This record gives sequence, structure tokens and C-alpha cells, in this order.
Amino acid sequence: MKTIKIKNTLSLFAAMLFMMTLNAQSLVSTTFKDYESNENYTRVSISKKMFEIIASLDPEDKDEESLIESINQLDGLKIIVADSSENPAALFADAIKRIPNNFEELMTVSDEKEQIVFMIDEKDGRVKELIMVMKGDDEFILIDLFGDINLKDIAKISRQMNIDHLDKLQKLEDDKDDSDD
Amino acid sequence: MTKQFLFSIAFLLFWSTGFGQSEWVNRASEELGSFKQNYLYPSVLRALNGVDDSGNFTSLIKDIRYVRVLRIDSVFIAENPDLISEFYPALQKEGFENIAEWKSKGNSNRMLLVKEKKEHIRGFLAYEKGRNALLIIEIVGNFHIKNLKDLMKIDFETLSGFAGLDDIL
Repeated sequence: MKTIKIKNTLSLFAAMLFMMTLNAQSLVSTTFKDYESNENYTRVSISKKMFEIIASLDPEDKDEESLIESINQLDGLKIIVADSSENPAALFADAIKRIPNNFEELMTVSDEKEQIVFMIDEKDGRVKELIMVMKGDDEFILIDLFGDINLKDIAKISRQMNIDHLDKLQKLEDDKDDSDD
Repeated sequence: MTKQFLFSIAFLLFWSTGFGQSEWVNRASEELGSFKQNYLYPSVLRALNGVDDSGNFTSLIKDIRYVRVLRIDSVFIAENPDLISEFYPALQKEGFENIAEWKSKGNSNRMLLVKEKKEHIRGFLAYEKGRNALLIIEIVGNFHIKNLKDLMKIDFETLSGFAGLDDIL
């Protein structure tokens, strides 16, 4: 009886460890592992520690306080950038095809120069991962933000951290404000 | 006498851990010799304040012992492959964490590494690998994590001039 109990505890512990590993992994480090290791692309990786450091800064006002709270919930950010020599349109199509079914489209922004698709992995009202795929005439960009994501603050965070294109999410807020009026 | 000696050793040990010098950077620094590295002390750092209001910046500088800049050229890299390849694992062993990394096309690589304990930065390293050279900037000191943003007030152009960074990468 005692052996069964220990075995159960051990398997529960192993399952928890497995879940923790799963949670720590991002789509870029799993599905797009080959992109991450491709030396022809520019690859940026920001760890949770960086977000923790940013979150420990003293806020200057209420807005910044809420922003800092949101930043503290993030686990990481990965960015892959490929230039025109890598055929952005083909990379865009490949990336969209690879994104698993648990991601749903949040927003698409298109004009004559570029197309941007935002997709989220949401469960019980909480966004766990946000993917942005962008193709332009001369570049392809894949952004993967993971953790506990407050979509409302992402546009603001991206402006603070100078992350191009993610600020397009501001459109979600603007559209919501328009419909409220 | 022995007591005093032991006390001095303990103090030195505490001093070296408290201010978070990286052992790897110490080793590289010894191998490099003095002509490929610069030390910027608070007196110089004060002159690097790029912002008019210097209250917080002055308080940050107070907690920095010095900034050490190592310029490692291709000859040194070729002569010390083991030391260079040990860089990241050795720093991890020392308790440094990689907080941000940029890998650009053409195999250049930038990294920011931090050693932090109880909201105090005990070590801060910026690493940049170019085509033929390595640049390592280490901030040796012990400052509160919230003062990190004051680092951004540094006039980086003047810093490059002081540390002779322009001619390496």
C-alpha cells in the first residue's frame, strides 16, 4: 500500500515537472526550432528575468504601474527576422501553415506593402501565447510572446520596448472604444 | 596575527563576491594584458552622464566600482580557443543569467548577462561578438535593480570614445 502511495506521488511529481517544462517552452523553440537555429536570420530572445528586472522598476504613475504588472506576467519574447534574400512570402506561408490548431486568429492587418497576422493561444479567458507573423516586400518577421498576456497592455509594452508592428494591437483597443461610443 | 590574517582573507573574499567580479572576465583580463582593456572609474563615469538631471545617475555611479572593457581581437581568439568557448558555461556557473540575446545574420552575437540577488545587481555583462573580435563590458559594483534604468542615461558615444570601442567592431 505504502509503495503504491510513493509511486503515485512520484508520478504526480514527474507529471508536474513535465507540465512545467511544457509551460516554459514557446512555439519558436518547438515548432520553429529550425528558424531559431538558422544563422541566416536575425534572432532575438528576451528572458523572463529581463521582464522581472523591468517589473522591479519604480512606476512613475498609475498607467506605468499597470504596465509593469503586465510585464511581470510575461515569460519571454522571441523574434525571428529574415530579410528579402530569404523569400518573405514563402516563409510567411510556411509559418502560417505550421501554427498549431490551438491558436486562433486575433487580427489581420493588410495593406499594399505588408500583411500582418496576430494569433493567440487562449484558455479560460487567459492568453498564454501571442504570435505575430508578418511579411513585407523585403522582410519576414515572426514574434512570439508567451506567459500570462494582457492584450490591452501589449501595444503599450511594445512601444516602450521599441518592438515594431506589435503596436498594431492598439487597433483592438481603438475598435473597442469606437463600438462603446 | 593569524586571526588578523584570516580576517583579511575573509574580508577580501566578501569584497570580491559582494562586488560580483566575474572570474571568467578576470582570467581573460589576465591573459589579455593591459593594452587591450580599459577601466572606467566613477570619476570618469560621472562625465558620461548624458542627461542634465543627474540625481539618480550620481547615486548609481556611487555604487559602481568600475566598468571594465575588454577588447578581444582575432589573434587572441585564435590563441585561446578554450577560454573563449568556456565563456557562456563559465558565466552560467558563476550565477549569471542571460536576460537578452541578439543573433544577427553573419554570426554576430550580442548578449546581456546579469547576476542578481535580492534585487541587487551583483554583476552585469554585455558581450558582443563581431566578425573578428569580441567586446566585453563588465560593470563591477553592487547596485539596486531599480537603478538599472539610470544606466541608459550614459552618453554611449562618449563611452565608446573613452573605451576605444570604435576601432574594434
